[in-house]
Amino acid sequence: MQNELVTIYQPDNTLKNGYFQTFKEIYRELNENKWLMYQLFKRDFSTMYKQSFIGFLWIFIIPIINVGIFALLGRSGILNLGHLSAPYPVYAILGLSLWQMFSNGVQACGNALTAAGDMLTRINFSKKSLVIASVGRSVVTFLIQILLIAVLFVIFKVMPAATIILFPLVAIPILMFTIGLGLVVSILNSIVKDTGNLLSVILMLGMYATPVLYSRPKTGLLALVTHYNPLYYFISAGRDWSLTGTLSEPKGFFISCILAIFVFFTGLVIFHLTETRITERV
Amino acid sequence: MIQVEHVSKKYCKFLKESMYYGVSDIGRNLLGLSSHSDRLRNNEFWSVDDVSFEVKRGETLGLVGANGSGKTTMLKMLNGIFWPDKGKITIRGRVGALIAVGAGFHPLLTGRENIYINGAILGMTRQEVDQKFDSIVDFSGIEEFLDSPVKNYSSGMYVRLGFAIAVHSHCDILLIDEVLAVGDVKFQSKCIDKINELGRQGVTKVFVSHNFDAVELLCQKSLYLNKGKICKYGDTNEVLDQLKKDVALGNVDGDNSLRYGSHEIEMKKVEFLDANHQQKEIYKRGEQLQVKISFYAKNSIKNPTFSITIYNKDGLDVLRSLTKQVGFNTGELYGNGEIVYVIDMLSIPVGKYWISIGCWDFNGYIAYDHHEKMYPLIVEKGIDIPDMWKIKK
Repeated sequence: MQNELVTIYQPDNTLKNGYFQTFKEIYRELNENKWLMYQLFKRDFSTMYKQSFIGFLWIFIIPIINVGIFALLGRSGILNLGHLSAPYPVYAILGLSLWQMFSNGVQACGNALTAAGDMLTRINFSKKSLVIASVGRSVVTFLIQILLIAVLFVIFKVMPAATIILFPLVAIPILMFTIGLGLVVSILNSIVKDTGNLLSVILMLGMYATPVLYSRPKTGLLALVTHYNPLYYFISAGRDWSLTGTLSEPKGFFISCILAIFVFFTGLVIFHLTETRITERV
Repeated sequence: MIQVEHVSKKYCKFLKESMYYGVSDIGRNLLGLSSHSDRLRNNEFWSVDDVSFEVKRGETLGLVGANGSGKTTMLKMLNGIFWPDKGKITIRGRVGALIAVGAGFHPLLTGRENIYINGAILGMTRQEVDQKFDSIVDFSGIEEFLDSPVKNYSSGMYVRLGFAIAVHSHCDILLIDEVLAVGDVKFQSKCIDKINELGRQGVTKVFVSHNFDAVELLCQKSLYLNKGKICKYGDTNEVLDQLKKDVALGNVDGDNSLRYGSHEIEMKKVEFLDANHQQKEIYKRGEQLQVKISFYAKNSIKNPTFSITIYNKDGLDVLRSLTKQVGFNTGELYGNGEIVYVIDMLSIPVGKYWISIGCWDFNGYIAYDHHEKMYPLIVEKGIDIPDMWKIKK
């Protein structure tokens, strides 16, 4: 045999091969496993609402309830929603759909390894593919929610900006950010189980700390937090493109995009260097 | 094909520490530091310790040993699921595994969907699954349930489908762990046929099993592990002889399929003696053989049954005797005691045999202590047993 596959397992493999090799290995693994990722995604997706009566309707119900609560709080004066550039439901759903993609995505990635359980210790397959594929569900949810957004634009008679076609593109940096983060969380979660619980608390806090359901505050602690929150810039860019047509904070958005790319690659490298440790601790 | 050089793998006894070590190992990996995996930390032990062997193309290697001897860990390292902490494993070719078939099935999806997903997980390409789909379905024999969710499958169907997919993935090296013990007899023989067929195609195999007959049948060479270390490595017959001897002497601990029972009566020592009360293993044909069993009964037990069976090398029994069948009453046993079985004249043909000895409840339903084919017996040519020809015309 000419191009016979030779595999070598030994401790500290990466140290011996050097860091440059790492990127090559990652690229090869992802490239070889495209079909696996698709199959894993399909498995996730087709079982998502298998034992449910109203099935896909949940994709619409959950954000509507969330927005409803906030609208109620805003009307009754408990909460100051700030100055909004569109009717509240439209404004809120635009933000929420992006936020949910991030938050559900990170959670799905984070749990991907622990949920696979047996499979990890019995079959040798690409674990990166498993984690990355698990983000697929939240992407599809997001794409379906675009329908809901379109309906709301019609109901509230809001004239969208022409740049609204760019709205789905915001998903790209968000996804890179999500996957990068998710890869790291999944490793930590497979070793220290506290990570999963901690993550859901952080994500819940994150939703309230990010101007998803209200506009950016001008002063106070929240204003400061928002200033350093990359997700705020993504969400705000998505809204700007849909409603006004001009980015209100192009610099912040640009820096956040760079950050997302950085997080994505760092996540991949961290995962690659440490994935051999997962199965021995699951 | 497979080269294993001084490979070791460590485990941690406690979860909390294991967690802490995991985090610190990951930290070191990230910083580009060596994780010093060759050293033991507190509460760690070597589950596989300095093991080296080699499997050539087309060969079949048997991995044997008691439970917890490191066989499965070794197999998982060959599969790349675990990485060695010391040493080096070099593998040439694509590895397939028949380890816990059916892992990764989704219960809510149909058999058809699961074939594709499982195929992908096992590293098949889309074309490969498309091409082999019919063959997989045919092999598993689940055709009529192909479109119902696998959670409705019987455990037999589940395993059959899992095996069918796994065995169809293209590989140069096949790792097999105990899966032959599944399914009905008919399917088992189908599996063995399939594995043999792969062998003829030049697939290299590593086979883990407690079933000595299967190891003897399938493997030319074997590796016997005990507590992670190599006890014996070489010709399968020699390796199995050694292992069986060790089990008989109680040198191998851990729960073993060779010895089972509730241990209400324990057979502590079994001796094979000739007419002069000399212990030996090799007897001449026609000699007297005494089997002396020293037992200890924990509680008072009424009339237990003792059994002795002699098997030839093909696994067929040539002699069987039960105290109950011959009407021998053992009475009430409590504490230490001895029972002796005497064959006045060994009349079985010259050859090598394995002997099973058991102690049961009166009806033979409950095994108190059973030693399965643990004792070797060799019969040589010897005294002529009086027999004659007669003819009438």
